[in-house]
This record gives sequence, structure tokens and C-alpha cells, in this order.
Amino acid sequence: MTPLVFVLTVGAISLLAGFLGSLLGLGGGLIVIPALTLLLHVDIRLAIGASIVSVIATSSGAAAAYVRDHLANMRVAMFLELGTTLGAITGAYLAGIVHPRFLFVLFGLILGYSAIAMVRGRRRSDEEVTVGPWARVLRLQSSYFDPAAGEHIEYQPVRARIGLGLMYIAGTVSGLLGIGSGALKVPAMDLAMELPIKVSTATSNFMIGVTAAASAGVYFSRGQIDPFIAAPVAIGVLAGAFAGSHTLGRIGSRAVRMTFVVVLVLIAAQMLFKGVRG
Amino acid sequence: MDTAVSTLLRTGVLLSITIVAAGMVITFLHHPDYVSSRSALARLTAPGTHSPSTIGEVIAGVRRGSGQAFVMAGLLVLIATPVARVLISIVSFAVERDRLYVAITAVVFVVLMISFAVGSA
Repeated sequence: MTPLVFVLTVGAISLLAGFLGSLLGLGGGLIVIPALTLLLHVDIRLAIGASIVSVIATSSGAAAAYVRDHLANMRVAMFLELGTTLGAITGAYLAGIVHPRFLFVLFGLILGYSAIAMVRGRRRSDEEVTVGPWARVLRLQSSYFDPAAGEHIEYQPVRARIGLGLMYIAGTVSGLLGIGSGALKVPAMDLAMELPIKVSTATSNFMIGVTAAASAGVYFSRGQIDPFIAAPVAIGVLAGAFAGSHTLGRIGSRAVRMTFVVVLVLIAAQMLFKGVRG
Repeated sequence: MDTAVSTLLRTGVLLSITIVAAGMVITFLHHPDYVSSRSALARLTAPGTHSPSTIGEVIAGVRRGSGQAFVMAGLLVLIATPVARVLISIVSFAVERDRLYVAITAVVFVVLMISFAVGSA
């Protein structure tokens, strides 16, 4: 393979990663890392450096449209970023103390359970959850226009404190394991805070860039960001995320939810595999 | 609020993608063999390859007209974009006189700076 073919191949794969990642609120490491290491035989350390670039590109490339269309809830994002950023520091601190294998198994199981819970959906008709003081004081309620449903959707997030706690855990885990930040954020917003699924993925997408930027500095100073690999990743992912951000509104919520669940099962399996194999 | 954040994100992304793309074009112009040579790839993606890893190195490389350094400068703009987004959110919430969210966002920014400091130590 010549360098030119390599750049074009990485760019094409990244386009897909950015598109899928922006729709589902995930970073795209799920596609970029295996493609680079297994298919193109790139060193794992450089692949991880490229994947952190992919997370930031997915987030920033899609966020402008999500903020404009009110799909990303900025108040929810800023409030929950308290949890993810503090968690990221905790994760960095705990690295080396906690055994990652144990965590991979634990969170593989948690993600698997989340996938099942997300398929079953919420039993919203059973009882109306009362809006707690936190969600009220924080004024988290918002609305967006859903072109797929053809209607204006108003929603009121609940269980803000539980959401914040889960984000702290999500931040800690992604700080420790280097993966899974979006995979934990979306179920937390969907199952605990009862946000509409598109708002959950768009808000997760908005948030992941900040956490990734914090760790990108470390990867940069360690020389793990190789410009020749990261350049086609950045360009491909940005283009894919831009396309994704203009697609999310137009596809049905059920399709978004089911695609997310399928990808979540894949991530859970990948985590369990890593935990068991070591 | 939304407009300021949206504009910042769009500007950051466009600036970064332009610099990265220009850097790749320069790289290929300087090394025409990258289009045909198969052995060049192994050299470029080997783990031992020294990538610029300090801001000083990147600036020095850009002055020399190195394509790889241009790419790195563009990637640094990309990395800085979400951080700048948090900063501009503080200003936007302040303009809206939303004290609670000015406080929340300011704490996020401080924690982010601490994690940068902890990470690079």
C-alpha cells in the first residue's frame, strides 16, 4: 500500500465513523481503532491517539448543527459536564490502582444490561415521575422540532442528581479505560433522565469533545498523535459528522434507538472480551 | 447563546480542516514518492517515528514549511475548539445574567484546566 492509498482508505473509513458516531453520540473509536490496527496494521498506541482525534472531530463537526436545531440541550450538557470532567480526573488518579480487567467485565455487563433496558423502553404510562427540585432549579426543560415526526416536542428531564452521579461514573470509567464515554452517557440520559433519544445522542455528542480534549493534551505530549494517520481521520470524521448532524432530525426516533442498542451490544461484547482475555 | 457557541464551533472546525488539508497537500508536494512508493508507508506509520509533541516543535516546523507540522497545527486547533466552547459559554451565560450557569460552566472550565495540568505532569 502506498501512503496515498493509505490516506484515502483511512479517510473513507473515518467518514463512516463520523457519520455513525454523530448520530449515536459515540466517539467513533469503535470503528477507527479496529480498522487501523487490524486492517491497516497501525501500532495500537498511534491508533488510540488517532481515535481521540476522532472523538473531538465527531463532537465538534456535528455540534454546530445540533446546537442550532436545539437537539443538543446545552443546560443539560453543561450541568452533566461537572460530573464527566471530575470523573476524568478521578479516573486518571485511579489508573494503576484499579485493575482494568475487572472494570472491563463489570462495564461490559452494565452496558449489556443498559441495552436490554433500552429495548424494553420506559413504562412512561404507568406513573408520572415528579420533577424534582434539582431539575426545576436547573431549568433543564426544553423543546425541539422533530422533522421526522413532523411535530414540536417538549420534554422535561427528571432525576438530575442521579444523572450527575452516573456521569461522574462514566467520566471515571472512560478516564480509566480510554473508551466508553458516549456508550455510558446515552443510556444514563435515556433511562435515568428520560430525555428523548435524539436529544440524548445529540447532547452526548456535544459533551464528548470536552472530555476528549482534556486527554488529547496528554496523547499529544507523549507523541501518540501521528500527523500522517490523524490527518485523514480528522478530515474524514469531520465530513461524516457534518453529514450525520443533518440526518439525525430526519430519521425516526425508533430507528435511532434500535441502531444505538445494536452498537451498544457490540461495545459490551468488546469490553467483556477484553476483560476475559486480559 | 446558541448562536455564539454554534459560530465558534463552525469557525474552529473550518479553520482546523483547512490547515490539516493544506498540510497534507504540502506533504505530498514535498514527497512525490508517497504517491507510488510502498516502502514509504512503513516509515511513516512506524511507532518510533518522531511526531512533533510540543507546541514549540510545531511552530518551528511550520516556519520550515513542513507539511506534517501544518497538519499538527490544524489538529491543535481542533483540540482547542471544545475548550474554547466552554470558555465562550461562560461569557454567553454571563450576558444572559444566568448566574447559576455561569458558576456551573466556570467550575467545568477550572476542572478541565486541572486535568490538563495533571495530565501533562
